Amino acid sequence: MNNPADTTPPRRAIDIVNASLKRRYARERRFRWLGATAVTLGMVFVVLLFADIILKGYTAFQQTYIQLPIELAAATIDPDGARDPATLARADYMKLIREALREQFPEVKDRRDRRLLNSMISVGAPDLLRERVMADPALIGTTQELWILADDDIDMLVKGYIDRNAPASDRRVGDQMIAWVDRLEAEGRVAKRFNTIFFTHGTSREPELAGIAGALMGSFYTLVLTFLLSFPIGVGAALYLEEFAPKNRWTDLIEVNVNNLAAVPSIVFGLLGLAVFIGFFGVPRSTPLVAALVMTLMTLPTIIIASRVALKSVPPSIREAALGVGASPLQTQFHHVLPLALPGILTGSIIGMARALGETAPLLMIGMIAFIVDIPKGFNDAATVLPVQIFLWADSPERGFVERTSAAILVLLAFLFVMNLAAVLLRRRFERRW
Amino acid sequence: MSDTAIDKPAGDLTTGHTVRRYDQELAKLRAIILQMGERVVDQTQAAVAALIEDDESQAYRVLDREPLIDYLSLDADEEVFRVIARRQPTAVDLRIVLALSKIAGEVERAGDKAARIARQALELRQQESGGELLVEPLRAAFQRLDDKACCMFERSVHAVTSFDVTQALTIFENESKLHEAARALRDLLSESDTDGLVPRQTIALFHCAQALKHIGNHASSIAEQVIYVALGQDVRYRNREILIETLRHHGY
Amino acid sequence: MNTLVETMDKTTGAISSADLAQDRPSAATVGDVTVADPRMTCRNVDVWYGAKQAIKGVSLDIGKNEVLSMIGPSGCGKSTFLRCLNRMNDTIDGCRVTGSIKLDEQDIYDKGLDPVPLRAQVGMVFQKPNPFPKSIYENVAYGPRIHGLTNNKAELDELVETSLQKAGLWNEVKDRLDQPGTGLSGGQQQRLCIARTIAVSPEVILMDEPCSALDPIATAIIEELIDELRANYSIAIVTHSMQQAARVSQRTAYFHLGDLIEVGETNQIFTNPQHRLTEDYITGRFG
Repeated sequence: MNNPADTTPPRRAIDIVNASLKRRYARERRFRWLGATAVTLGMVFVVLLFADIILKGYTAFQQTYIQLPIELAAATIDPDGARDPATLARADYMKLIREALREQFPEVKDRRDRRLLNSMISVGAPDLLRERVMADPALIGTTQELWILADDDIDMLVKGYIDRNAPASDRRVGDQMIAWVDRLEAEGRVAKRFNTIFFTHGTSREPELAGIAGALMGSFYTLVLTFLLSFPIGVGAALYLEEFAPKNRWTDLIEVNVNNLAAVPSIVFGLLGLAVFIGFFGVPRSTPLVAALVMTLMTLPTIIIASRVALKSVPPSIREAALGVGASPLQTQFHHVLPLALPGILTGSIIGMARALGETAPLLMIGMIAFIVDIPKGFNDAATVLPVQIFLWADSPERGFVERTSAAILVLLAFLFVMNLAAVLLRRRFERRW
Repeated sequence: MSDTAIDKPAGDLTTGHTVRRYDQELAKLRAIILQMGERVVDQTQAAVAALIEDDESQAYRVLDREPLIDYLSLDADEEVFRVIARRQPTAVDLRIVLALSKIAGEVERAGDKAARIARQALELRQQESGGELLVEPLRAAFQRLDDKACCMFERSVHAVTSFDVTQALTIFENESKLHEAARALRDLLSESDTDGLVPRQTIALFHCAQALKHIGNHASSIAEQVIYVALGQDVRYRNREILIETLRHHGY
Repeated sequence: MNTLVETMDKTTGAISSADLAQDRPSAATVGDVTVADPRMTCRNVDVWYGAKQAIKGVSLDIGKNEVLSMIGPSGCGKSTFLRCLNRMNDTIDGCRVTGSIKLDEQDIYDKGLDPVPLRAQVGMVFQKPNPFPKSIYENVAYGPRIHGLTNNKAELDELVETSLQKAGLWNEVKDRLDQPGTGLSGGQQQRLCIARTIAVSPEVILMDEPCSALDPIATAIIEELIDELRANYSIAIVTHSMQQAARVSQRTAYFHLGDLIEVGETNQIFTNPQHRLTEDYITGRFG
């Protein structure tokens, strides 16, 4: 009884718990803080990336035009006055523009200066003028104040990308040209207008004439075909493997292989496409068709895996219910299981599609890197796709392509955003069927 | 085959529930009845002693203690009610609860009989005609009937402790002896008008003899309930001899 | 007196327990497994899951217009046995059934027999209410539609209505047939599942713990419904609630570790079971 230890009351569990409480909370706080930091860091990088792309790219949606009073002389355009489209098309519109430009700068006499003056106008400007005239032949014989597409150097100068203080030798635009542009600007004859060319034209060597319409259509055709091929095949394969196939060594082997295929580098699929589709089956190269075939191979594992997970997550009670009222296994799947798994399957498929949309490497293998100016009109036309176009532009030396690269990235991101939105909407629509 | 069937002690039918509280509740119910049974035996013996030895205070004590048995029977009823409501007994449990409820009634009525004997003893005293009340053969006959009845009752209560068919069987076998002793006593009473008993006293003694015999019959009823619990067969209103034979045949 | 002797014979055996507990052949079921008017007859049914035997030589009849309840501790094989009766076990890999199970003299494990129409004849109600995620109407109409039981929309409407009426759900849902079946309460969902089952006019209805997910009121409604359905169907019900078995069934079968230990009138099983294991189980001494 004299032992002091006997007199102290036994330690209650709650005291021990309280003692450790502070440490536990500290650990929890640390973990939360770490998580918040990670998320913030991620957000910062995303914001930086977007800010960079947008800042670089937004100017590409505007293009510099020079307003010139152009005398659409009937003698030059349509000498015989028949308004024959062939004649109209053949006329020398460049001459008209140059004459108008010379009238603006009558003091320029020197041959070399004249050539410099002419270089302010884009080489594509006559084509645009021709389109204009051919669309409205009534203009012939009148003098119109028309906005003429400026050369990319002028465009860069107006947008402020060319440093006027740098030594003239380091600039692409000489002092004289700057003076002319300034004069035109002072007269209000220079303006930045919305860049429709970017969305309606295929690519070009000239930045001011380069558009993404070709790549966009190429991507669209490729994606549509990829979806049409890979979705039914993928879902069918998943359905068979998950619901019907006997569980044995062979199906195990197939499962392992499907999982492995999802991890195969995409360039391998490109090589496969080159060898099999182009080499063996003779599918024309650089077409959306061959691209879609390769993309199908690449997205199939993703779709199969996602679909199997979605099928697995359908409660077995639904299958039992259907079988219990006497539905055949196939009816059970198509009437009950598949509709319930569809949101998950769609999500997986759209993820696969999004990956296919952003894929470059395998397409380089099958010739999608070719320089194709024309906008593809079908699955069998030579085409390129958005990421490859971005890759090509990023590789070009002209300053004008820098902003166009960023703009194309913006368009690609918008495309992806629309796809994801579609995925969300589809999901919601199918899930609303309880 | 699970080992449960082999290992389970074949002894007590009220134990072994997964819910141990259930065991306790059944045990409590049975304890109440055993306590009642013991009291009834004590009461009977005391009442008969009061009658034979003409002990007024003893008779009063019996009457005083009688309500205790009634209270216990109320307790037993309440316990039965509670077990049925809370445990929904089935099979052997249901039989146990129902049988114990009935046994409680039998025991309580046996207690009433003891009190009646004590009351008759007092009645006898009021009619006292002087001299010793009970002559020797009568006294011995009462003693014998009392022994038989108490012995049967005690055994029946004991049979309840383990729902023992063998013990219940011996009670059935003792029935004839009880009836014999009762008849002998009645015969004696009907011819003993010589002993100076007034008719009222004779009637009182008849009542006592009848009460003792009834106590024995209650013991038989309890034994019937014991067999009902143990074998799941209601053996009331059956031919006793054939019943005894059948049970014997099966080794009890 | 004869009955007394007979029952006592068994009882003595059961209580002294030595002879029956040891080496009881697995097929020796206490009580009469047959009924006078059987709808389904099972003889010496063994069920294997891979190498594990889940059911050991069970013989049991299901009579016309009777409710047969199957009770027993978890894992005793009662659900497995129930699922054999409409070949629901076919969907489980490695499940093997031997012995004979006959529905009106037709062996349902016959090689040529298609389980799909069988399941229309032997309907099933599951533990968890599992209505299809479709409208109430569609839930009931689905079975008749895939089996082509009706010729036109009017007939189908009528069948849906009568099925829902039989399941005691019509008055509660008649104004919202187009609403999702999953929006109903648990008890209503289970009755919807019963309506769905009876819409394909089965002969036997199997119920696998149909009330285990329901509250007592809903349970009472289902039990009342089961009693009404007995007039037209044979019903086999697996339940964990002994009280429920006692309330709804005419015959009760007690399973223990894959053996059918005892079969008998429900009244007898719950007042005076013959086998020690049955008694221990229903009085709550194990399991």
